[in-house]
Amino acid sequence: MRYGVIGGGGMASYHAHNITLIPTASLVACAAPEFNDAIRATAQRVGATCTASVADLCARPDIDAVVIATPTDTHAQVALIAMQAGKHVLVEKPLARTLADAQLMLDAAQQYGVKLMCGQVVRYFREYATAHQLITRGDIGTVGVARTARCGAYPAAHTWYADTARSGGVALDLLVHDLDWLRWTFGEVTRVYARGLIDRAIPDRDTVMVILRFASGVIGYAEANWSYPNGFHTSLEVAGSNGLVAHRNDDVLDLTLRPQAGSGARLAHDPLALEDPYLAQLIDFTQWCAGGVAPRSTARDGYEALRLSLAVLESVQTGRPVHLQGDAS
Amino acid sequence: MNNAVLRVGIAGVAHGHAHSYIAESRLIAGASVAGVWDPDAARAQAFATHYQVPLFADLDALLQACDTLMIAAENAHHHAIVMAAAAVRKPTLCEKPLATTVADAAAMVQAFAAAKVQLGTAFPVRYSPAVRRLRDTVQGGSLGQTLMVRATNRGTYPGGWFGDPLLAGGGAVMDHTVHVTDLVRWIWQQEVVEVYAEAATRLHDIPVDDCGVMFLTLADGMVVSLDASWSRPAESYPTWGDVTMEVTAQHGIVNLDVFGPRVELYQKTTGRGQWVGHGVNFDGLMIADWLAAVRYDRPAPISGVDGLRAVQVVDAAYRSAASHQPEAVVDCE
Repeated sequence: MRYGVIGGGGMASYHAHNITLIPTASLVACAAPEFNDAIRATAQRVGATCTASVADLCARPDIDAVVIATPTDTHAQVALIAMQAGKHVLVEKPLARTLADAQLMLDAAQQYGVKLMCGQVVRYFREYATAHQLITRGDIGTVGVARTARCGAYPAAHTWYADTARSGGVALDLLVHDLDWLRWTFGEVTRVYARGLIDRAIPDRDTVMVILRFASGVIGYAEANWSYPNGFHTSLEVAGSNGLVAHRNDDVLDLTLRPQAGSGARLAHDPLALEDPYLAQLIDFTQWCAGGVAPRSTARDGYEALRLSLAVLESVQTGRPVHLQGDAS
Repeated sequence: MNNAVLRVGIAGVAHGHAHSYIAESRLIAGASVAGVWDPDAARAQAFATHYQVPLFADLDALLQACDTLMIAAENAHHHAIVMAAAAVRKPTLCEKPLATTVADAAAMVQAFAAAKVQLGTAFPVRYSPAVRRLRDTVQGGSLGQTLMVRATNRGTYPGGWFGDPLLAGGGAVMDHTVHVTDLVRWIWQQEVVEVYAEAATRLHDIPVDDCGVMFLTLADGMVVSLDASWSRPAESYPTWGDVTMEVTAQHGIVNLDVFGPRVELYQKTTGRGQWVGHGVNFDGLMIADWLAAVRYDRPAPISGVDGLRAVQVVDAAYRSAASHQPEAVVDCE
């Protein structure tokens, strides 16, 4: 699979690097208005070209698929260019900034006969995949309450993430991870009610707390938190009639470094780290494009996760619960 | 009250806290246990025999024989016992929740206000040193404004009458909403004005709710999320449950784990690991504070009104779980 990478930031450089780790894939070109040093280094190492023009990259006949890691509000426009040119597309989450844009993308994939996947990468995190497996095979019985939290620092002020009009803020950018995992594990959501800080315009804080009800009867609580001073914490707990599944990312590292301030000590990057969920996702997509089975997460899943995120925003804005399809109340 | 020994009456032993009430009362110099009464005569007998304290066949006799009453009966019995105590002006410490309905709780508060003696609600978690430091930190201002709180008070299903809607008045939401509600009111010095809740019976074969997740909105708009579910599997979970908060404030984040201080115990003879708490004994501090208030005729450290406010929040939670809308907390006074 011959890849182009569109986007010049952190996630784009990560995907570009991962492409070079897959034996059946190659990195051909990168496109972005500007590139970070990591992308330039990766491109240089494998002889990929760097261009400012998305159209030029998509016009290349020696590219089969593109990975799109541009700001969320540009996903649809960029993906449409790529799909029109016959490229398969793996696009970062959330699928798009609006449902209308997301629908255009789904339609284009049909129209041009290409593969479209949204990178709902949490499904590839081994702890989340393991919990999903334990729950869905019935190890904890009938589920009552499912809780998730994802907590980190507010994005740096100069980045597009901090521009809610572009990113959708924490409800789209961060919460969409857990909404997708919850929907994957517990099925469709009938009702959401959300509170938090996202409507309070507090500098450097953006956090949303959501209570969900699923058609299956499961009660969900999801929190996406951009209010931490530093660090990144995730937690997951699902209580069922026969037991409890729980995970906290702080608890379970197999290797932890606590550097002395200013020592510069850091852990080495393992180029064969196959447990990397982004790499697992990319391998899944690559195999699908090469004629293999559909990946763990589809574009439709990305659409539904976005729909839930937007319902959360609507609930915050209206101050009312949002009743989704199938809610009888 | 003079320097005579304070005689403690135990009314109702259905709640496990009856054991700590009697044990802690006995440890306090200047207090003694007058005896025990329970609507279930056999249960009262077993308790009296175990602790070797006088058994009372009726509540009025116990009320005559004691200086202060501590109630650990089933929730639905609180109202009648408290009203009887008010009639003879005995200072009374009542297990939470104060009552199963707002009307009952309001009547209890009213009766004690008229009698001009202390009615207290047993919220021992206020005596956690970590809770007190959190309160001091919040009120001291170094954290700046509190923006939001994520709280849990999850536990194992207690079994027995807790699963009987007539005796308990509800399920997990009735049992576990009140502690965090009280902490939030006490730490932030504001009332809960609105509740949104999802509640359901999903985990146990019982006729009351065992799952409850809710938002409590304070007067200034601050939101607290609370998980009040009986979601710990009793057969395998290493402890009974938790009381936790993550407080997001202007100048930082504070994590509270009230029962965090623990030693882990793994034995060949049990099917599970155990967390053995080594924190401060909150029940003992609460009983000592209550008895001091009675002796020196001070206001109840945690009052009947505090208990009423928590019952009002529970009431709003159940209304919201039925309406699927946020519900205002109705002030009955």
